Amino acid sequence: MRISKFSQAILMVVFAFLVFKFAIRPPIPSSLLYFYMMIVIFAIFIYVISDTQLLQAFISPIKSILVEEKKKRLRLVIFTVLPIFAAIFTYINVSVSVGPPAELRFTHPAPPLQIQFRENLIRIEGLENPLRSDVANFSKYIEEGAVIYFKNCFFCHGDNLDGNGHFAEALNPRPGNFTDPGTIAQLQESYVFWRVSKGGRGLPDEGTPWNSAMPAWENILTEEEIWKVIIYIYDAASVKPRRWEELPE
Amino acid sequence: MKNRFHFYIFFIFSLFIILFYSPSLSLAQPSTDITSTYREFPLFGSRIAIWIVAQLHLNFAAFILGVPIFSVILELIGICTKNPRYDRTAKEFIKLTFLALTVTAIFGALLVFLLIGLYPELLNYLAGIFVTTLWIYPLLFFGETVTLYLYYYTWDEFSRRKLLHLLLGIVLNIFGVAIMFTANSWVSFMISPAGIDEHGNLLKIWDAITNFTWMPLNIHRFVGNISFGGAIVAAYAGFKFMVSRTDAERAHYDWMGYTGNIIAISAFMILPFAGYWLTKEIYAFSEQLGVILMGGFLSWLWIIQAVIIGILFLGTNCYFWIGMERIPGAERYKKYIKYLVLIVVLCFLVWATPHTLVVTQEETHRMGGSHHPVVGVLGLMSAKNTAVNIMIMATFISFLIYRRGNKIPTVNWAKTGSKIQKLIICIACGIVIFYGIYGYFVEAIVRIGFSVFQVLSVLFCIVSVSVIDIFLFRKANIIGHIRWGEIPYRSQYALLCIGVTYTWLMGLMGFARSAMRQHWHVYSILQDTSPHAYTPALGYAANIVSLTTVLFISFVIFIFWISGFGESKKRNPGNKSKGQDPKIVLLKGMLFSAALIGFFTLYSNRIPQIESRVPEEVVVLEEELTQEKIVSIGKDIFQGKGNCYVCHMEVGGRGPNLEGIGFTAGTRKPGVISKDYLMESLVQPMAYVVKGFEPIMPPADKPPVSLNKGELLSVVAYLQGLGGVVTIVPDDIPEETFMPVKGVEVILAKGDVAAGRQVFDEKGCTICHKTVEEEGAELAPNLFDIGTRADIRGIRESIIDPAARVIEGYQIPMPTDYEKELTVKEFNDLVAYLQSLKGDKSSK
Repeated sequence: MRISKFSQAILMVVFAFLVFKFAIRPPIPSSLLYFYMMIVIFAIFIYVISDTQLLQAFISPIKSILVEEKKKRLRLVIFTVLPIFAAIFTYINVSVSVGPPAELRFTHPAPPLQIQFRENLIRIEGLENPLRSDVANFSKYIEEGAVIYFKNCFFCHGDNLDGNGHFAEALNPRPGNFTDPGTIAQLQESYVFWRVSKGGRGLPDEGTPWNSAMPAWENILTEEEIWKVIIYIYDAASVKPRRWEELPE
Repeated sequence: MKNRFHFYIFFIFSLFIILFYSPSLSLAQPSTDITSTYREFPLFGSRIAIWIVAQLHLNFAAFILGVPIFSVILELIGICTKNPRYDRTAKEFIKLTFLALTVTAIFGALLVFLLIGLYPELLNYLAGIFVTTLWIYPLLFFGETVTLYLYYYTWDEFSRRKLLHLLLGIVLNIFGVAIMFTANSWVSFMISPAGIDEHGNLLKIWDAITNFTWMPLNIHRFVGNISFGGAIVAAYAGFKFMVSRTDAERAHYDWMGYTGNIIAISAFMILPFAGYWLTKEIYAFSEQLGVILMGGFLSWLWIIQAVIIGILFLGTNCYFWIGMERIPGAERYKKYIKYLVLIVVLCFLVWATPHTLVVTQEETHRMGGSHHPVVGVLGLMSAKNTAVNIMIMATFISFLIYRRGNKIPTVNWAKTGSKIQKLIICIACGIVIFYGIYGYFVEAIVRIGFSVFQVLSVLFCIVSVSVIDIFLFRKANIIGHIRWGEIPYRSQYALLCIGVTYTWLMGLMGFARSAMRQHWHVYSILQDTSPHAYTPALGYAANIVSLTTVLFISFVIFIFWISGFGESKKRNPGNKSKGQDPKIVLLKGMLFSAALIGFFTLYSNRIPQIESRVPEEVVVLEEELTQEKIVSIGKDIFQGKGNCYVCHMEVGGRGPNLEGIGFTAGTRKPGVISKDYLMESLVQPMAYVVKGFEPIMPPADKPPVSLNKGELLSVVAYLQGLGGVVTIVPDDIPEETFMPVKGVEVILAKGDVAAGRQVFDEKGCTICHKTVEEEGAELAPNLFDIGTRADIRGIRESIIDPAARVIEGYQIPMPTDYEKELTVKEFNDLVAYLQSLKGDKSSK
């Protein structure tokens, strides 16, 4: 027996759901799963209406269930089950769960134009690491940066700079993993400077719900120390900081 | 007709009542200060008033600029192909622009009045910069109006001198484009001000006009307007098609819808590229502005945009596929549709994958962070660029198979030509995918450059394949003519969908352009200090965008209705069986549009909602400390620098709930007052672990928290305030408080054994120390079993401070400067290596 077009479409939706749900490891967040399913269903809909024959083949089982006398029993079943499904779906959607609500944090919100670092105003935009140009003392800075790192940052960010320090398990969001290509490799050093100086508290609104445990190091480290530790983390993670776009003229 | 008259009278009167009602409210208000920077619009506020009027003005402006471009293109095609249909449609559309021109002007004037009334300072500043353009603009507008009228009214007169007429059309468009360029200079200046000094004083007006984003905005809007014009025309034709009563009319509107859609989609394919350029220039002007736009609080806007553009692409493709049913011979190509659907949907999935995911805490844990290792890769620019380019390619292929549906090539190189086409398409796709993947392996600044290669290869492919196609199907055998008018009705809803979605998309992008400036009128020059300075979240924006879209569609229907009056009313009453009732079509179309707009609005309201608030001024610590001040500083530290609240939450924290701690602290341990108890808990957290909680609290005076004495005391004061009496007084706080603490303990990392061995060799340890058990004289202790003899602490100590534990019987003292000699990494490695020496024979 050939499977009707309608059942084919249903099977395709189910197949896509299974792929998204179980084939991708670790599992994707449910918000993304719903989003993907929405797109898949929309695409199948578009495909079905793109051909008149296909559309009719698709609709005919629905039509027959709705009107044919001998399918009265099936019709009754469907019209009983559908509202129950709707009710279950609604219940799941509105019921209060024990878990905290899904949250959105922007890991890399836009930096401010300038920050107040103790007494000085520092312009973040276009700022380069002042120590990086000092090639002669570069390895010295790395070493000094390492010392600062292991005195201060290592507790959370870990000895391998992978965000797996002592406190990592207790923190949410977890400490930044500098070996991830999506973190410091994507950012200018000035951005890192801003994050180190101002910590979790200096995050703008989109970095909320603000619960990053990163301290504001401007109270503890000097400007130069922060630049040194930045040199160290880039060196130790063996990535290069993002450069500024070169302005014409 | 008579009973209708009452209805119109009632309608117009209600309008008048509404119109008079709103100003009367403001008249009732107390008089405002005439020098004020901002005034508030009655009822719903300045923001919404300006927003709606500006967006409607822009939509109509886009329409009246897009349609003449569209008409001139049609007229040119008409001249080339000698097909009168093109000419007829071009003329029909110019007629529609008349009323639209008036409406644009009305909304433009309204916008200026609102700006004068509500934002006088901003307008004053902009007028000060752009005063010269204010003289030119009306002249251009005059030129536009005159040429528009000339273009339309000389249509039949110049029917024999078509080229002259076409020239008139081109002049009309030059005026139109010049108007847009002028207005763009004001808008783009607000995004990327130039030609001024740091205080905002004008240096050079030409620089102010030709600022960073001016030209890319010009191009983006120019291309967008053509596309928008086409989409509106197609939607109009779709409506007309459904209400047509004769086959001839149906054929005409079917064809018009097709042509409108083709022009819309051709321009639309270029639009992402123009958008990239605009964004690149925004980044070039200010990296921060670029990040706000793409990665900051607006980043979810691009997910909405991706959904909308995905719908536009699928809608257009769907229209082509349904349209193939009226082409004899096109059924040969039907089998490819499913693959095209698959490709488009895969690209859609990639393109719409957000960079920042919405996750629950449990999901974060399962993913091992807020970044998904698989899907997260798709959220980056390389993947998205690739997806959109492939999506454009797929749409182009859809168009190709549509075009060749009823044709069989007769040229003798047909097979070769077709192969070359396939080859070009494959190569272009290959280049796009290659750079998409390669982009992950290069630094960001290089990666951005890759999109240029991708775009160029796609553009080259489209142009070259089209050219080959034109020659390939010259004098082709026609299987059968396209049966215009025999397209199913549902295809016209696809056109309607494109028109509505397009309008909504324009509204959304209008918000993006304005919102990226955040709390600035003129970015980094003139700050918005009004109550509306914050930027609303996307859901709110979507509501307003939907409102403007509905208003725009209503106005457009009104215009079409009015301009329909001039048409001849000759109708064949006997032929009523065909065609649908206009009222029902209108109702269906409205319901369909409402559902579509409703979906966009609903979706935008379901995604994360973030407002961009105006940054607050930093409060500088006053000289005089009071007890209240100390408590408030303590609270700040508790919630900020100290990160105490991370664990000590109100409910369900990892640490004890501190409610009432001020009282209980004094009672917990007999003889210990609350101040000492709290202080001790902070610096020696293990001293009093509360039952039921893990001893996980780090000492507050040590890194990473590193509070100094004054800060600790402030926290104590804050905690005392929670249910108890604050005993800390300002004199308790040391003078140098709120300065950094020095001298912290080093905690070391686990090193690498192999690297440590190398350090051991290089630093000359081998000169004295042996690491193999053997007979013979020794200068220093043999370290072959040091890993069993000493613990890690002992090994470290012996390297840094050898005098601490000297083993008797050796002559040469160990150098004491290894502390300086070794880097932290080398030191760690060395310790790890020494620890690995456990005395077994295998380890040499």
